[in-house]
Amino acid sequence: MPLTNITTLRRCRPLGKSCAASMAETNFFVQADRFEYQRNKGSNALLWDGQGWIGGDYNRFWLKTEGEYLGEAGKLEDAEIQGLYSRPISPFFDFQAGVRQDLQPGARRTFGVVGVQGLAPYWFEVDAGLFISHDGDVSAGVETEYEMRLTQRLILQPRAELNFALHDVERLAIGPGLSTAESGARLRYEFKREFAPYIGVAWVRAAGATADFLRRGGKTPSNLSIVVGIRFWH
Amino acid sequence: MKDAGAAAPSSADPHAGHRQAAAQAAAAEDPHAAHNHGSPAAAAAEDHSAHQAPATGEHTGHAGHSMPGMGTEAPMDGMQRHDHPNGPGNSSVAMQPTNRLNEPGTGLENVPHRALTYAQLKSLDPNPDLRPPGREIELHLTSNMERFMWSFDGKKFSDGVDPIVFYKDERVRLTMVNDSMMAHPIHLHGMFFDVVNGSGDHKPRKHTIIVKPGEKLSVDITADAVGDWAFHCHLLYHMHAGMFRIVSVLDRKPEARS
Repeated sequence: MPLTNITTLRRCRPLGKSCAASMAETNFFVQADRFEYQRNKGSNALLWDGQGWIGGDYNRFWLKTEGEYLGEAGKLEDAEIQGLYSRPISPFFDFQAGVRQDLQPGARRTFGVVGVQGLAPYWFEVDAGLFISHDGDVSAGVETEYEMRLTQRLILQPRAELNFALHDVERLAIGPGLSTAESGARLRYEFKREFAPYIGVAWVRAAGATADFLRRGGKTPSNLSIVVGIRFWH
Repeated sequence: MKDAGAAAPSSADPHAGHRQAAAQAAAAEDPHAAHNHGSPAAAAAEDHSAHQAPATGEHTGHAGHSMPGMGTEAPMDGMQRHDHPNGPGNSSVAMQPTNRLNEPGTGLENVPHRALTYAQLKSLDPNPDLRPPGREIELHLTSNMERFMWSFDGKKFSDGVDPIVFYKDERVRLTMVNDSMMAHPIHLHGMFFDVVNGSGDHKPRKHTIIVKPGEKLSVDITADAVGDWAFHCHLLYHMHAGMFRIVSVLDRKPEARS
């Protein structure tokens, strides 16, 4: 029984939804969390780490990309892109599932991804994922960031990332267990909230069997760099 | 304690009985009579302007617990109702919503000059409709600040929610509980409401009232304009994000009268 005019309004169905639902907004967000030049003894690299989403409050499509280009060697060391469907499972966390494609030459792999991303207590931003490659290799990664607001504009952001592999992938020099650990601290100045240059340090260490692979190949398992970059979003 | 100074009976939780529908109680007596949470002697004391009476007793449509004729009908469990959805759209819940009408607002507590409060507001003319409310509707102001989701009762307008229904010439008490950590200026189109702040027959008549974080306040509405009216937070970004409802005032059908 129609109670009121608005009940009739709710029954109008443009595009198959009720009018009220079609008033829900679609928003988007893109961010380059790291976009930097890294330098350590004798070598340099360009690194990017960006993500973005489009959608409403309950359903979003996320795109994440990360990669590293080595200056001297002139090659793409790492490049990956993930396309994920995201849905909130709690006030502060989203569940994400989708596909990841590694693009660097010699290591092109496709993975299925499931993960969670959100804000953990005490303001730690957490992004965790489980990856299953098309060859059946299982790996996982978790990264966390924390923002220390030294002033309204000067922010120190420590960051840590751990990557695990369940299986070893010899051709890519990845061993089982903890494969790499990264950490870093970046100090940025937000001229505008959306645009902030930063400087910092970044430390990458291969662990366990992965480190052995590297040593056998004549490379050092750990690497400390100075970084300079820009963080921006829209 | 904000409610200090109210001579409440020792066993009575000052917030007990909020859940009660208050239909009988409110109809039975003037809802603002018992400013002091049930101390019968104080019921006669109408003039509260001299001391900024903290507990102006808005949550008592059911008057004092010791009012004659009431018996022990008021539920004494003391828990605030929070039965709205608790999904991603609602990240916080006010554990002890209280009357904050006597507070000047965030940042103005310790200023050297006088800061006026809602508890001090009175209308110049007597209120046109002095009937006690026939029923009470409770609405929660909910949010997830991290996701910028703002809603009433955990549901955004675009989730497809039912209108809030009033009947023509009905006297309704709308009680709002702010479960979020921001103050929201809640605005009703089409009608004025009387803010239940202890001013007796001179309740201030407003169309917008700021509900502070963790506050529970009541307004009495005489639904004198038939139609669909907007009801929303006047922070328009919040309204746009879902903190919006339609208040429908219907012509009462004779057979629907209870």
